[in-house]
Amino acid sequence: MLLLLLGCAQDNPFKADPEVQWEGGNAHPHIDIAGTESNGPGSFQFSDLDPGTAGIQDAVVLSFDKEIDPSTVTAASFEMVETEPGTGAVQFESISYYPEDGTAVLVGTFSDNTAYLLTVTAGSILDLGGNELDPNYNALYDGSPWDDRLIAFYCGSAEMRDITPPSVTGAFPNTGGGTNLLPHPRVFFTNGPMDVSQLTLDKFTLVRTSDSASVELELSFATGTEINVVPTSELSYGTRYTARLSAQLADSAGNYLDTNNDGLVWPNEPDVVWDFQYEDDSSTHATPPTLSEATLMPGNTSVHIEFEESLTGDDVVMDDATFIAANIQVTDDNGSIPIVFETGADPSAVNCLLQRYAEGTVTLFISCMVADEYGNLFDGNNNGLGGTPGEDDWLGVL
Amino acid sequence: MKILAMLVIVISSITIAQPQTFRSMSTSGLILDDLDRWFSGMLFTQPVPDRLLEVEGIRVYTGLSNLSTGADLVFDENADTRGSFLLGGSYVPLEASFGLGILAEFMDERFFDQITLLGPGGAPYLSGEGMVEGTWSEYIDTNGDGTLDSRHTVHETAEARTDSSMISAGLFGAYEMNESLRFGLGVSYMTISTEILDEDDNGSIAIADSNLVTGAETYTLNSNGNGLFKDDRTALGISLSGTGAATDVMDIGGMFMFTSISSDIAYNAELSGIEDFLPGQSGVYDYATWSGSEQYSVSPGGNRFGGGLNMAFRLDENWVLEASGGYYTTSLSGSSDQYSISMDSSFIETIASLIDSTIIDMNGSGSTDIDISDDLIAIGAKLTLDPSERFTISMGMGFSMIDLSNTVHNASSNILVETYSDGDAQFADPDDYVSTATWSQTDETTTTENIKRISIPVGLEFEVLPKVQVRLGASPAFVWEMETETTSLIDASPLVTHVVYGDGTEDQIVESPFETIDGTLVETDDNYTEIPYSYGVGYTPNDYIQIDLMGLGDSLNQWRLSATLSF
Repeated sequence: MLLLLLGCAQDNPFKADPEVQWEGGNAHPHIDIAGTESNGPGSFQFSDLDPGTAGIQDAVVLSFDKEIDPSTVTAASFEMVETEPGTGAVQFESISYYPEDGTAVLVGTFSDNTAYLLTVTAGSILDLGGNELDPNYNALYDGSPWDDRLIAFYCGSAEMRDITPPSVTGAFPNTGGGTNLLPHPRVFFTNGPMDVSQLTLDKFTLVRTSDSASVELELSFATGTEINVVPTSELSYGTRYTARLSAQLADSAGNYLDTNNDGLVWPNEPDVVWDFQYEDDSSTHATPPTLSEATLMPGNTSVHIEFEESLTGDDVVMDDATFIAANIQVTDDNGSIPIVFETGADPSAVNCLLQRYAEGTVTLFISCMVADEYGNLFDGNNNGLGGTPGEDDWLGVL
Repeated sequence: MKILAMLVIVISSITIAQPQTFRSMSTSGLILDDLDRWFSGMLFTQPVPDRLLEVEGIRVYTGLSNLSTGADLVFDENADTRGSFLLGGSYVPLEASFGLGILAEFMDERFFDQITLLGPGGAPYLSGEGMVEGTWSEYIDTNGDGTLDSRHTVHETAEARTDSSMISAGLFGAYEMNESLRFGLGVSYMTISTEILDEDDNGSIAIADSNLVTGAETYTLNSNGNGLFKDDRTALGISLSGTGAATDVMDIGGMFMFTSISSDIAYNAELSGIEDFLPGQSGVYDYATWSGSEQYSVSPGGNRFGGGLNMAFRLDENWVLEASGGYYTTSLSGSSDQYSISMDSSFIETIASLIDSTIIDMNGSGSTDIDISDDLIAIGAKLTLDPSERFTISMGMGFSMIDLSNTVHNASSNILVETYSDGDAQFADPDDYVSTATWSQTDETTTTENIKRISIPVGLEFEVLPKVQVRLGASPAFVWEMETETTSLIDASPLVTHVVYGDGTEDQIVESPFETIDGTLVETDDNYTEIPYSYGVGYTPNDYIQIDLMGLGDSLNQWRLSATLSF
């Protein structure tokens, strides 16, 4: 009877209702395309769509990658200001959101030969799931200014406001084997020019790596594309130094420095940090070891590894105590292979006796924590600087 | 959750089991023996304790009575001797105005499941019941040099059994107010406990590979689990009855019963393990660990009540017309929000100076609601003729309807968080990620069963030799059966996986296609006729014992025997 009644009520007697609110998901929305109505997506030039009316009649078109809550697309979410030649605010005549294609259209009247900066205020626009825009793509809502979305426009011959963050193109010197005891540690920038007034010695430090002892510096020069310093006294042979440039820098337009060169600026953008090292003299032994040769021996029962001094290729005496399973691993198609380490007459070599038969692809991993007799850590990339996890690990198929 | 579906079956049967004598079984339930008169009552729906006064003297029901199941094959030496035993009796002093009856049943048993362990190559090497344990090894010459150089050893245990116990007891009394009015009162109690250890939940496995030359272990795996399903059910009931003489030739009786039912169902299972590719190598890792648990508990309860009327009309000295009607309804329900499942696992691997890790944390929770109803209505009349002490015939007509319904409503939601790090501490590392997957479902299963039966039974008993009665019975019936099972998906969300990588990029994957079983209906609508025949023999060698036989045939092994002591 129940089924009969349900059958009269609707074709399907079952109560399936899988419509839940997952459409918005929990990923942050982004403005993936911006442009003008007159010139299309990707163009930031306003052109007059209505010559019969005074001023440049055009609109900003923003395209979102997720469905947006239309109630959040209001005048309060946008701030448009003139950046050249004036500085005043511009009011949009209408703001509309079209859910069918996920675009917002901001209609306004603009002036010829004028540049504008549109700021989509952080936290103002939400998607259907209540998530804020995340312009810096760190999957977090950071607030202003980090999650303000800036877009520059222009009319006529006006120059658009620079909104591209400056980034680092290189930091030098950055290898071992150095010989100039009065080097010029320096960082090069692009997408600037940098605000030179911020390129000061309080943003640049140099320390001896082993004990963090500070090295006194002088500012050699600072330009929109480079900061260049020099120690006040000679550095030492056989010594490693660590240089650091603060990330808290901006270019002349106020854009924060993008230190990892990913085109985005996060609140926790890391400082620019790098090392360099001097070659040994007769009194020092700081040059790290590197890999000379690794061989899977016939029968697949052992791996023979030989080490040499980095950069020079000289003989080294390795520290046997660092030949442990935590520092040297061998894997095959079945996973990791237990190893018994065997050292012999050659102080620069070790035999890794495989405790089970290796099958398929055999891969050797050498950790940067392998050391020579002086404690110099392994230099896996053979640049004269050892001991950096990841960079100085070595792996290869035997 | 499948266990909950089983629950509805066992709960609904808790108060139905009632012993029936061989005499009534072999005469299609029309000719009642002493015990049937007061214990099975009207149409076998409930005790009618005032009828104790109809059984004068002492009756003793022991294991010889074969009443607990009626199926014990006493002459078959190979038959399983396990089962419950029943003890009881009735006592009505001669010319007394009161009577007492008691019936108790006990059962305690353990069943073991057959378990098979697999050895080298997946071939069975051990099969047994209860708890089994075994170890086997495989030695291999891995490099083909003519000597064995590795060993693979597996130690495995498994356990599976079911423990069941049952105690039921009833105490009944009857009192005759005067020659035309009597009352009866009874109380009964039943408890059933079941514990199940499933083979899938209870066991362990330990694997160790080693190098025979150096003795070094090259691989280990240890995993063990345990789980227990417990089901405790209790029913406490009272029954009232009374019979009065409406006229000189007509008695009218009534009855009422109430039973309170409670139960506790619980399931707990745990699992843990570790797999290590670099056992005994300090400071380096290539291992996986996992642990998980699943629990739920639910305590459905409810009651059953009902009653009936009976009228016996003596047409003359030899003819009796008896009409009865009974009804009871049972309602049980239970809710639980204590269902939970969790599984944590980690995979840790050393890659040079870095430690690559994947941590998985899965949690699920849910609730279950159960509603069960069981209604029965039975009406019938029979005409019994006793032309002599050596012959009795009874014919009747009855209608019964059983209406069963149970609904199980399940809701569950789950979240799985996977955190991966390659261990290099790289800022904004695109290789690292946190993945969050969610999914949920709410569904409902409703099972109904409706059986209507119109039967025209006939039974007779006649003495073929002194003290030997032959009994025959047939119960032709028209039966209408309808069973339905309806499942409905109330709500569901697809598996949605949201991934946030270390560099801030996000990815969202929705299960696509997202397929749902929105609803199903399985229905059987069966109409048929049946003519079950029954027969038996009763033998009363003296005044103190009555022997009843059923299952008579060529093979003595199939004979069933019941012996009742009387004084």
